[in-house]
Parts: sequence; C-alpha cells; structure tokens
Amino acid sequence: MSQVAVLSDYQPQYAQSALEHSMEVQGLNFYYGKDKQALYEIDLPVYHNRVTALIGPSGCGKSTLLRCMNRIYDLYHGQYAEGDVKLGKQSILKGPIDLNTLRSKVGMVFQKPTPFPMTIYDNIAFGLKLYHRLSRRDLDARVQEALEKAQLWEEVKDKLHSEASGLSGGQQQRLCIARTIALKPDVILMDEPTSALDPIATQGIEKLITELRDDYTIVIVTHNMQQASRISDYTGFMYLGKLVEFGETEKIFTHADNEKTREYVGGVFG
Amino acid sequence: MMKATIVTAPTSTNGDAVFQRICRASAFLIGILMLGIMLSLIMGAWPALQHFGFEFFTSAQWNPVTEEFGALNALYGTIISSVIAVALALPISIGIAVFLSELCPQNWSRPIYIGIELLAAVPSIIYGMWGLFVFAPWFSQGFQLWAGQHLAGLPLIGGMFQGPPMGVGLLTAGIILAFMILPILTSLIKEALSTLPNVLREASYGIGATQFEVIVHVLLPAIKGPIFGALILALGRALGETMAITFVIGGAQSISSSLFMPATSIAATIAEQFNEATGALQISSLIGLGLVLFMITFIVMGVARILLRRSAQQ
Repeated sequence: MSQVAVLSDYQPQYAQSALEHSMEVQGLNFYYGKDKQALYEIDLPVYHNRVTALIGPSGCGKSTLLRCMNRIYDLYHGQYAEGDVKLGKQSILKGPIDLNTLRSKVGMVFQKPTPFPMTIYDNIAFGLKLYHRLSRRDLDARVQEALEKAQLWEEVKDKLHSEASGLSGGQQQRLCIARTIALKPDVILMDEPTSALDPIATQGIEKLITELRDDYTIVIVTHNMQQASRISDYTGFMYLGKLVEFGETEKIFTHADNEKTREYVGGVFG
Repeated sequence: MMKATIVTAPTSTNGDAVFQRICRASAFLIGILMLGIMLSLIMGAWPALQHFGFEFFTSAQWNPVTEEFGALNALYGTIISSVIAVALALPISIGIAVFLSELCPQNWSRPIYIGIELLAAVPSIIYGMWGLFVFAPWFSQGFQLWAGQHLAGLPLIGGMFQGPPMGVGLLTAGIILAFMILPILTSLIKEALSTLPNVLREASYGIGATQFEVIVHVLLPAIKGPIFGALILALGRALGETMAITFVIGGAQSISSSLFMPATSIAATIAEQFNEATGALQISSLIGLGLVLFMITFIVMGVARILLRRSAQQ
C-alpha cells in the first residue's frame, strides 16, 4: 500500500513534550440546532507550527470541528457550541470576543476556491486594508510577499490587475491561501483544500502546505488518507462526531491503538 | 405479494396528435398576435410618418389645431420619468434585498417579502389615484416648497427644482413609477443574492471582514450582472406604464428643464387624446407614438433578457 511506502522514511522531528499549543479544543460539543448534536466531547491539541490532519468518513464531524475553531458557524442561526476552544490562552467561545479579530488570527481555506469578485491584487489587498493602514508601497510589498509564499507570484505578477476569476482552479486556491497568509494569522484552517482540484494542482498545494509549516500552524481536514500521511505531523481520526484517536501521524497510520482507527486507515470502511 | 404491472401505451395515437396540434396552435398564436400588433401599428402610423417624415421623431410640436405632430415631448417625458424611477428605486431595492437576504432573521424575511409582492399586485390606476389625490398635494406642500426655497438657487442642478409647487409633474411621475417597479427590482436582486454560494460569505467573513464590508465589497459586486439586467427590465416596465403616469405627470406637451413642471409621456398622451382625436392625422400620429413606445420597450426588454440570461449562465 502506497501510504506505507511513504511512511517508511517518515521521522517525527520533535518530541511531543516540547511542543507549544497554538489552539486547544476542550470538551467541545456542537449542535446544528436543538437535538441535532454533531460533536461530542472533543479534546484536541493543535501544536504550534505543525500540521494537524483530521480524517474520518463523510459526516463524521471533521469539518464541523474546523468551523468551531474560527466560529464561522456563528453566521448561521441556531448553531451553537458548548465546551471551550482556546487560541493561545484566550477562550474563543466564552466571554466577549471580537470575531473579526479572531478570524484575522485564525484564517480559513475552503473546499472550493472562493476568489472574491475583484482583481488578483485586490483579493489580497482587501483583507489587508481591513486591518492595516498601509502606504501604497507597503501594501504592494505585502501583496507580493503573500503571493510569493503561496507560490503564485511568478504566474500572476504580470496580470495582478485582471479579474481573479480568470485563474485556473489550482491558482485560485493558491490565491485563497495567499489571501489568508497575507494577514499573518496564527493558525490556518483548511477544509479539504484539494478536493476540487486536479492531481497536479493538488500536488502544488500539498508542497505549499509543507513549506508553510515553518511559519504557520495548520489544521487540515481531508478525506484523502494518503494526503494526511504525506503532509501532516499529527492526525486525529473522527467517527460519528467523536474524536476516536489522536496522535503522531506515523503512529495513527501504522499502529493505531484503536481498532476503529486501524480499520479506517486500512480501508475496511470509509 | 407486490407485482409490477406494466401499463401498455394505447395503440391509437390520434388523441396525442390532436392534443399536440392544439398546443402548437396556441404557441403560434402568440407569434401571430405579436406580428399582427406590430403590423397594425405600422399601418396605422403610416400616414403620419409619411406626412412628417423623420421630423415626427424630432419635433416638439403637438398641436391638434394646426395639425402639427411630433413625438419629442412625449418621448422626453417617457424616458426621463423612467430614468428617475429607476434611479430612485434601485438603491432602495438593493437595500431591501440585502436586508431580506443577509440581515433580517429568517422568520421576518417571508412576511416582508410577501408585502413587497403585494405591492406589485396593486392595480396601476390605484397608484395613479393615490399619487394625484394623496401624494401630489403632500409632495407640493413639503418637498417642492422646500426645494423651491433651498435648491432652486443652486448652480447646475438648481434648474431642475424651479417652478411652481404644483404637485403633479415629471418628478412626481418618476416617484410613483419608482414605487411601482420596486417589487420587481427587489425580487430580482434578492433572487441573485440567494444564488451566491454560502462559501463566498464564509470566505469573506473568514478573513475578518465586517457585515458591511462583505456586502458592499464582495456580495454586491458578485451580482453586478444580474443587478444590471434587473435594472433594464424595470426600466422596460417603467417605460410602458400608462394609467398611473397619466394621472400625475400633468399632461403638458412641453419640455422643461425643471422636474417640477408638468410634462407628458407617450402612454399618457395616447390615453388622454385618443378618445377626442378629431383629424385622421392626429389619430395616425397617436398610433405612431404607440409604435415608438412598442419599439423602445421591445428593445429594452430584449436587452434585459439577454443580460439576465448571460449572467445566469455564469
């Protein structure tokens, strides 16, 4: 099996004890409405400058968990969470909190590329202008920096002022990642960021994620187990709204403690 | 035990053939009607067009006594009142649509929307009566008096607000028309907003934009095409409106720079004069006006349909 081949030369680089928490989910229950509970007592650490993957069959709650971490569920009437999610030391579920600031610190990349209906340049500058008063020159520099980090600069530098909708799917997704990292967030949440892309674009995004790991904490939801094993340091396996097992990616994929995890990773169900 | 029964098709297809023919004939009827109307308009207008030539479209004369007829006054009133209506109704309907689809709680949205749809069901003569007996007096005592004192002296735009506060006139007609096209504009814009994927909203809020920033910088620009299509469609409606306009536009065959002065529109001129038209040339000229209106609305509606379809495909 291909994931085993990939994993054979995988070395966890850091001891878990030395890691700092970027975020921490504690006893989280989530409801899509009264009597429609989607998450049960989730405890999940998100380590600083690591990639954490959430895997599990469709409908297991992995995207829902992600949506709690920047409170994007707040947009919808009737959805609510209990328990706690911490960003650094601050609770983002309890007490007064400025949602706009939270979302600038915890960015999100979605399943489908979502360029805004404006130029490539403005797609990046739009978010920046919300938070910073930048001179034209500084703004240009930040836009370029973000596009370079997202490995998109070379492809778009000559057409920065054309509409973003003209880019290919993979380019649009990298633009969305650039838009997110332009704000220099602490954490980037990615909800199946490659599921709408072709294999080559997928490869590009995966490469990008491993490079972003040096500067950012990333939580990625994926239905693709090879992807999780290729790019993540830690993996959480979710099933029926519960976090069944969490640990170093190598362990989850080679000798998981839980039988359900072993079955899922081994392809018995999915 | 359940057993599937096979229903066999009737062997005779005579019934189907007849049914098909009836339906086809009904469909053709529309095209024939359309052509017939156009032909009779052209034939009816022919004497006037022949007599006045191209000047029929450019002359501001409309004098039944000397039998001089030109369409310019009516054309001017029709277009300006419609443009005023669209200019007033567009921002309001965007506001309503945004409120209904983005801001208000779901359980409020429906009653408000039904209210707006009911507005569309009010017969236009009611708007006309209300405009003449209720709105116009109130408007002349309120806004027109105030504007005459404060705006009329301004450079450039002052000319638009000069003249006696009569209540009826071009601006009043535009405002009443605005009420009438509000429902269609609102429902089309609301429809366009509801077709936007939720993930676009999530992505915008996801970078920390506020509600205002999301709506103004992302959502509304994303439906630019449909808004423009809706605008043209509403313009088409406004151009052809008759009864309400006839009541409140003032019925004066003149062109004035002031929006407070009475004017006329194509539909209003026809409605006012057709019964009392004496000479054959006047009747022919009125039909000519009808032809002009027919062409304008036909083109405008066609453009709107094309725009809406194109943006729907995207």
